[in-house]
Amino acid sequence: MKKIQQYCKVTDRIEHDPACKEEVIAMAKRNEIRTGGKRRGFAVGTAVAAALLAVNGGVGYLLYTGSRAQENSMVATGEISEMSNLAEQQPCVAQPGYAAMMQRYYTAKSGTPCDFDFTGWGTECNYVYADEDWRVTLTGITGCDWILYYFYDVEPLSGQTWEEFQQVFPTVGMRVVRVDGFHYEGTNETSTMPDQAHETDHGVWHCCGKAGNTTGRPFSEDGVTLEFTVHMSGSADPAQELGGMASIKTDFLRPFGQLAHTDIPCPYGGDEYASAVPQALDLWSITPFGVFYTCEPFASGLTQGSHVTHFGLDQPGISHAFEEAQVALEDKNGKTLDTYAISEDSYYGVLAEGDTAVAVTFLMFDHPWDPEKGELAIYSEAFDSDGTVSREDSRGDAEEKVQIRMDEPEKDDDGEIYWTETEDSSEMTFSYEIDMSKADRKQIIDITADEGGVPIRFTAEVKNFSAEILGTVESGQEVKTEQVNSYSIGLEPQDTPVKLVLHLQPYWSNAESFTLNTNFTVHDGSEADAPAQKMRSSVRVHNKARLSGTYTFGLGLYDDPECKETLEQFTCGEGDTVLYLSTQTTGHDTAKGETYSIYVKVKQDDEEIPFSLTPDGEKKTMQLIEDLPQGDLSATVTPVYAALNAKDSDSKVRVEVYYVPDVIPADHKRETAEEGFEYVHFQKAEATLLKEN
Amino acid sequence: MERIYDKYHESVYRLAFAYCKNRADAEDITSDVFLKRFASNKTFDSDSYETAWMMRVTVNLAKDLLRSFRYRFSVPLETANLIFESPEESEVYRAVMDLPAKYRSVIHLYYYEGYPVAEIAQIVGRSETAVQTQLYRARKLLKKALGEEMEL
Repeated sequence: MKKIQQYCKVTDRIEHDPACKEEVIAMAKRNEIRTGGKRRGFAVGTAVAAALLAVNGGVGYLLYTGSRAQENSMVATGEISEMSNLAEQQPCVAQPGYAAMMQRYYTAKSGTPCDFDFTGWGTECNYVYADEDWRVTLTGITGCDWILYYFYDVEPLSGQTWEEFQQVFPTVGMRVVRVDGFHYEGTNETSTMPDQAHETDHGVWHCCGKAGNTTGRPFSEDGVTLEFTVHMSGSADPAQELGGMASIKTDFLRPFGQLAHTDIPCPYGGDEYASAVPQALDLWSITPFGVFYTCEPFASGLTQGSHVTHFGLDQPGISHAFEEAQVALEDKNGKTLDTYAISEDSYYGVLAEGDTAVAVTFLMFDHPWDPEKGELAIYSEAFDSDGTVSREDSRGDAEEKVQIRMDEPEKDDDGEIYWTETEDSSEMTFSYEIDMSKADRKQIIDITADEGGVPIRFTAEVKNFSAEILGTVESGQEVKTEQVNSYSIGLEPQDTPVKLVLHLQPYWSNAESFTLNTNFTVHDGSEADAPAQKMRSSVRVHNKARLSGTYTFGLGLYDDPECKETLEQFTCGEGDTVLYLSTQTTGHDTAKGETYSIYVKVKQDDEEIPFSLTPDGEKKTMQLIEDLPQGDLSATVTPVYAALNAKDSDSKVRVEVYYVPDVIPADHKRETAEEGFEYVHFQKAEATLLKEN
Repeated sequence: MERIYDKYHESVYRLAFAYCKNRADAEDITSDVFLKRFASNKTFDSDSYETAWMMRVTVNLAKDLLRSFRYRFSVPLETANLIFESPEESEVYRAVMDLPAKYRSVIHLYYYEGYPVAEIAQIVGRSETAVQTQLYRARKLLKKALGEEMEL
């Protein structure tokens, strides 16, 4: 029998090295506070072989000078080196092939060793495309939603040279198509096979290419399977191609880029363009591979011709971030209107004249951006052809003093966030670490959260490292549609980072899925209102709690529980009138948690009448019926004690029953029933109260 | 100092191990926790508050380590100093350690340390609802890994 206690027993036997005690106490007595710890493990060889790199039209190839034997030797050397430095060396974690190759790619690109760990950011594969002369093997893919690096080996089967390969296949590219047929336009382009010297590795050339996504639609959207085709066109007529297709599920793509959106003023958002650009253009994705910018379609309406945007970026180790930046301007259907490339001067021009367009920008790094090693700051400025400059700088005093890092929210296996999976879970938590160590005055945190028109209740807490609460705010119980919650927390300067935790509870929505947006802004509250630092998260929420299936409700009104003939007419007696309500629910799936709370109202000629469910109970205009059987054919009879009014004429007495799904938070059920939202099942039983004789 | 160390070092170390799955990092975290404790010179109203503080700091340091990219994805379990008395024991232990860090930490705190959900929520800095959900998901994953005969 497997028991969780077996875990406890093994844990009991884990002994802590007694030598640590003396060391720690000695250090504490010397008041030596070690900040980093002596990290061990994961030896990564930093000396990598020089590589030849050529970039042409966004697609490059990489030929390693080191042989496989040399690579192995290098890794072994790295391990020995680590071993000599660290007495308690841990086993080296083997990197997947794509990770090692990507490190070499960046090392060659920047000229400095890259030790970024790409493990988990890609997938290994082994798809072979071949003809009589050549064998091309797709060996790995890595990247994010906007850029994919693919690795392939080329093997000449008849001892041909690279030049011969280049002559036969002068271009290379990788098409990416969703299984539902959507074609990622930007990946269709092929690039010239560079004319480079090369080395062979046991007769195999290792190559690398890039496929950029310029559609504004992430590669991993909906977690679909993508079909990758390494596409090599020949110069012969008809074109000679190596066929074949790799179908790969995109779950290797990390959702990083979708969660790290940062609001940055759009270059088009300046005053002089405000009237021409109705929508906010603010969607930036930042991943270790680069900065990617897409915007909603906008009617440019610009008449002055070329507009140039200048991007700058601050991140240690990334010196030529914009070496390969591209911007594509597309119409709303994804058709490319124009494409611009920039070189090291980090400028690009956009001719956005009088059309509806989406801008897609690629700012590829020459070194992976590691969020552990610093903050990324992006700024831009736009100016039109007459030299007018509209600088929108995302950096400023506030940002220099306050840094924000967002934790990844909880996600299910498929990467989506489920805000309710169990009966008692209906909230999500986002946390942000805010470094306020350089703040010199009170900071104000403004928070908003919305779910596309259906508001969200939230509570926010700011805690310091010791979990002491520094500030809280609650959105309260009042929830109305078409309302966005916005609240603020004031915070004094702190020596250490603080954590802002947002607990979000979407109000009931019957949508299958919806987009949840949370925003917060940190500013210093001064009159000058220094440039704000913003963080926004936008996640797709799959709503498991929505209702599904069919439901049948039975309702009857009787004047005697023993005589269950439907009540049509009755006469009001002395004191309370007792009506017997029979309710019956069938057809819903209790296994899915689709149970109901049943609220009752009594009305006489549309006037709400206070009533109770016991002879001496408190009278209210709406009562909850407790302990109702669920999914049961048997009916429940509930007495209703109502103080009906004797009238001179016959009147209509109506009992209304509201079935409120239990997935709605308990403290919202009553108001939900009161307001009678469409997802509340409603039934009524009516009878005539005869006039007083 | 010695009293505090003797009292908490096993719990701190084992919780750290549950997070990072190897002895060296667990020892580093343990050292850092005690150094923070001694440097803070805090006084606590009760032992339970002090325990919660120690656990909380352990979790924070472990999370910091796990946020580093070498830990962001799968790190194998170091078994050098683990003793298994039966295949089932090994299987159960490995199944727990194969859980995502957030799940194995709540499993550890709930089943090994015996904390109630409310205290775990304080320690890991999540809501009680979130902890309950994590426990639910962790149990589900364990049952999936070990079969329905797994007793929780």
